[in-house]
Amino acid sequence: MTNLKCPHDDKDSLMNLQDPELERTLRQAPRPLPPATLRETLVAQITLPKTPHCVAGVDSLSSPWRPRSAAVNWWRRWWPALAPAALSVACVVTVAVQQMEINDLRRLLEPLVAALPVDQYETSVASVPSVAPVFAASAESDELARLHDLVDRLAAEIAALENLQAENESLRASRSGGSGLAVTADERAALAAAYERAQVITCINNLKQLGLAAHIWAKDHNDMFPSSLSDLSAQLSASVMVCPVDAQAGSQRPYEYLRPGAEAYKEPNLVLFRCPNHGNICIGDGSAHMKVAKDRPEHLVERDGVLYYEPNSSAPAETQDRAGEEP
Amino acid sequence: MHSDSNRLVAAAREGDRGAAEELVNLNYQRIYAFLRRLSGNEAEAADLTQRTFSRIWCALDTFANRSSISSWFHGIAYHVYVDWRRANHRLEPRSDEWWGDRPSTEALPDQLATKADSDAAVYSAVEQLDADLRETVHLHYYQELTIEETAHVMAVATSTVKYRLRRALEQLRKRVNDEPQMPARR
Repeated sequence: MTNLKCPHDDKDSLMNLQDPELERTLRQAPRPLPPATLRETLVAQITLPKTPHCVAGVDSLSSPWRPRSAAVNWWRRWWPALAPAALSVACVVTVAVQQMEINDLRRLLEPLVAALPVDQYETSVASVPSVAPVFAASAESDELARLHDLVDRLAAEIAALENLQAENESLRASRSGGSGLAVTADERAALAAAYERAQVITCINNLKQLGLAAHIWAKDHNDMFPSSLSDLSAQLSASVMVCPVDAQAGSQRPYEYLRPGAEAYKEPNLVLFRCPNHGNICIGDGSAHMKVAKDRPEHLVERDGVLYYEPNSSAPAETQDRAGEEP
Repeated sequence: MHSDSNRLVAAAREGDRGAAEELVNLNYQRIYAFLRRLSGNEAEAADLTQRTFSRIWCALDTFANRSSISSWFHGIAYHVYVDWRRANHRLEPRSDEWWGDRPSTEALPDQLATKADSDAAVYSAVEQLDADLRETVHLHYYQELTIEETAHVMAVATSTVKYRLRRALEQLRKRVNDEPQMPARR
């Protein structure tokens, strides 16, 4: 192996060419000379554009060259960029047109939907499957709102009922004495006396009504009193025919009817009705007298089995007109 | 020169055969040398030169003065070569000492012989480069095209041409300086 000596280096070493030397060498490369007949061949094969058309068979390689117009060359150069751009623009235009049509249809449908009743609206929505999802949502929301209102009203009513129930319970407790009120014996006695007085007055009223009812009956029946209290049931309620004491005790014992069927207006002092509890009486003229049978039995006179009220016999009797006064 | 070439092209486009002959006279030797170095064969180079000029006559109407006549001719020649290489599957480097074909009838002095040996080593190393580097060196150094003209012929950026030239010089420097060299043919 021989190491060549570089002409620029006197040292006995390998070549050490640097870039400038390499470039100079490359630029001074010899030029191969063409064959002598090549020029004539080339001149003979000159085929200009204005002369008969270039023969494509001269170049049989894969990329034949043919004369093209400037417009065709421009199109061939730019179509890879223009084709996708044109396609994109066409897609954008199509989508925009479709969106505009969709918006127009929505604007047309809105007033029609608002005018439809709910049931018909739901039916029409069900028959249009493509539109149902859009409008069903609004119908459901309306239904939900209505149900919410109903729930609120029911909750308010329940709260009011609970308040009433609580108030009722408190009133019951206060009535039964469980409220803790303290009542003395005197107050209790006064309450009892007042209650008894009220019963006496109620009894007197009942006897008064019985006397009036008997007179009205007599007017319609040849001036004859009714044969029994039941004849007066059409005119009076059942509670009037019973003393309050008996009614409170649960008894239906009526007042004593002493002269059934007697002649009216003949004997005004005839005792018609008598209370077995208080001794109150009602006489033939329709007046009622308090506690005569109990407290002043001497004012009652019996003749031939008939009882008469004669207050002048011993002491003056207390009448219903003065029932509110204390003896 | 440039304006003369444009005038000749315009005249040939209009059908002036004399202008076309003049274009042949001015350019066929450079085109042949370019194709001879690349193809590695005289017969193939002549055939490729004929194809190149056939395409030039057909493409006269498409020349839009966007480049020089030289780069346009070399561009057509380069594409003719690429098509031929693809058709013949000529992708591997060839051992063709085209630089030894120069006429030499005198015995060279020792220094010139040494110079010739080193030059031969350089040219041989160029043929061992990758195809893109090799073709870039052919266009820029052998054919004396500028960086811009070389970029236009190869349809790449000027930065790419510079990068390829730099890499080619690096590889040439390594090959030439590190490997033993064979003497050139005389």
